[in-house]
Amino acid sequence: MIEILFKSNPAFLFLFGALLIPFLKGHIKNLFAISIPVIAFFTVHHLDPGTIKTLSFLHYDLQILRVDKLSKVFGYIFTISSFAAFIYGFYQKKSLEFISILVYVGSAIGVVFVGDLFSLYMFWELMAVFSTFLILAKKTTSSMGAAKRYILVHIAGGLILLAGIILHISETGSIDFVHFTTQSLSTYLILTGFLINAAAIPFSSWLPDAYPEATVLGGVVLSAYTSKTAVYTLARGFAGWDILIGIGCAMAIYGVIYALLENNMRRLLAYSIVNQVGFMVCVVGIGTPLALSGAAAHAFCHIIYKSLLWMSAGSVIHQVGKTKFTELGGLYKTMPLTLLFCIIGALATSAPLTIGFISKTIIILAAEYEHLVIPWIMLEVASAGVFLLAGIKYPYFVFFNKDQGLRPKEAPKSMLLAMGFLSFLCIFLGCFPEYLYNILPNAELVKAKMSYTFSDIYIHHFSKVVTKMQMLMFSALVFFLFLPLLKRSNTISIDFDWFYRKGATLFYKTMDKLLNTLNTITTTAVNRNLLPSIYKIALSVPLVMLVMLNRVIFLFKKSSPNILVSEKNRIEMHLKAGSFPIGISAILTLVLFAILFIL
Amino acid sequence: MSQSLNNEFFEKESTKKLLWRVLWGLCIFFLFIELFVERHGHFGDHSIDSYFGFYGLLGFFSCLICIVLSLIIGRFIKVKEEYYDRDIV
Repeated sequence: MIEILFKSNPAFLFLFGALLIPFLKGHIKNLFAISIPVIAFFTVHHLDPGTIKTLSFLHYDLQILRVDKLSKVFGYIFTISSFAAFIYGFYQKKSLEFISILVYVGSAIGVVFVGDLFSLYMFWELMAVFSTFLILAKKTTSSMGAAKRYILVHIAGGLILLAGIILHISETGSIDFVHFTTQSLSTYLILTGFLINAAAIPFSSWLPDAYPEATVLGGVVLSAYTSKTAVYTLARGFAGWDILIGIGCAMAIYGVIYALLENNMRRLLAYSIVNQVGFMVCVVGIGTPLALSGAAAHAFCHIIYKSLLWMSAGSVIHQVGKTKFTELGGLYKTMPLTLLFCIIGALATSAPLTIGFISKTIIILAAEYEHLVIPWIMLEVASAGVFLLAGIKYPYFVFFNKDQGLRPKEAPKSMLLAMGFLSFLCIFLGCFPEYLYNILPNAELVKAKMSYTFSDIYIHHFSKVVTKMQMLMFSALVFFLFLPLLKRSNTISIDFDWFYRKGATLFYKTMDKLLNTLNTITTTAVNRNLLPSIYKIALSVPLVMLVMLNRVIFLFKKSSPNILVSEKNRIEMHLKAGSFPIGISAILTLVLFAILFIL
Repeated sequence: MSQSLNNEFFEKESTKKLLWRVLWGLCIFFLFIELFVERHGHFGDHSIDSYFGFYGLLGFFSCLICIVLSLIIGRFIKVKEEYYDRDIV
């Protein structure tokens, strides 16, 4: 038991914790939940790179634990951010959310630490299922709809991944999850499966559709894991695939444009996740050792400041109950601490002295070394853009802008504590990035190329600070100069989800029309035409036969034509009423039998 | 009463004016200070990013382009909030 929990995949710690949660009550439950990421953090810390543990299953050896520096970076940040999330969620009492979060985070850690495609797929699906409960837990009609679309997209993505994995195994005979070198149907299917979770274009719309519908705590948790595990899997399997550079750049720009149009604060933050994951996907596509370290570093930093921003948005929702920019404003008066942490998170997207500055620099440098001028410019543009929207637009519209007369209390202490913790990390690691660089893959290379002491970054390379500040200040200037153009309205923007939301309705309506028309036609044909004519035939054939038989008999008897007519009428009447005297019926039956016998 | 007066800080016209001046001041300050730092282009010594004020212009125009693009695209894709309400998925 201890072997499995503490010396194997740290995911099992979370899964085990989830089993115990329902038996705990009150704050013990909260404290227990907080303790799990702490224990997991130290477990991750003590895992030696190079460790592999296998488990025999069917004819394969499943690598349930594979440790290297890349997986450890993600292990660290996943445990740190879930620790902060559980502190933030100290107000929460419901077991459902705790269990979902523990299984969700646990399986994200599981994905990061397994070494084969089977185990990866199992954890991948667990993540999809349990994250859905975080959206369902809000229990509104719109969240139910969003959860339905979310799980459908992820099931589709999971099936595509599964198809790819099965094809890959049948082609190569190996289930190891290592770098894919051949470009074939199987690897493209696996890539698509990963890209769906990374919210890459054109599979991006599920993220801004679903996350803003989650609960307050759910939103904070969701923002960190699904897309970042996808970045991890891309870095592991598809580093250096050129197609990712284009996809990443497109995501970065798409995120900015949609976020600018957005009126819902959590949707704005969701689009800025797509934008930032775009940076990571692009740099994974570059694929050099420095680039991969940049991707890991940026995932690490992005989780910290984006969780912080989601927490500040969550606090506002928790206190005010509103999410639209058109309904918010002037909150700086009563929520100054939330505002402070929000601004730290906002600045941490790229300002000097914060983590965004040190992680984006690696990415930009990696693009520079490969002389990728166009991606370099696009990333710079997107970087200015994300500061414009997550850094200025979001705090401005929520905390300043027009006072809407809202006077909520400051956020609960646990929320402030969690935000304070992440804010500290934002600034501390921004000033002393060496702690981060040391845990990155290729740490020596990163430290050789990047300055990593405070004096080196902010004094000896002051020119970089100056250029960055120029960029940020002019972005801010544009925002305030063009503020009238950015006025919010009560609208939503059509995204890629239009294709399946309207598409499903269109499909339903088409099928409705088609099948119902077919139904009507069939009813008319069978009920109105076919059945009456069968009835007529069934009636007239015996009549004709009987009348003819009658005529033959009367011909022998030489009766008068009048009797012939009256006999015909009598037969017709009996036929319609079905009331032949029993004797005649019996004779007719006998005749029929005789005919059958002869034939 | 003094509390509520303090709280109106950001709505005063004088504050707004001051903040505008601070913003313009910072922009000019960081442009000015560039004159005194040594800087090299990332793609060779004479590449476009080595010119004076390149990053300020980049920040300004990239944001402007993003805003204009979003306004143009917004004309086509913005719909009412109830747009999807009657759909089945």
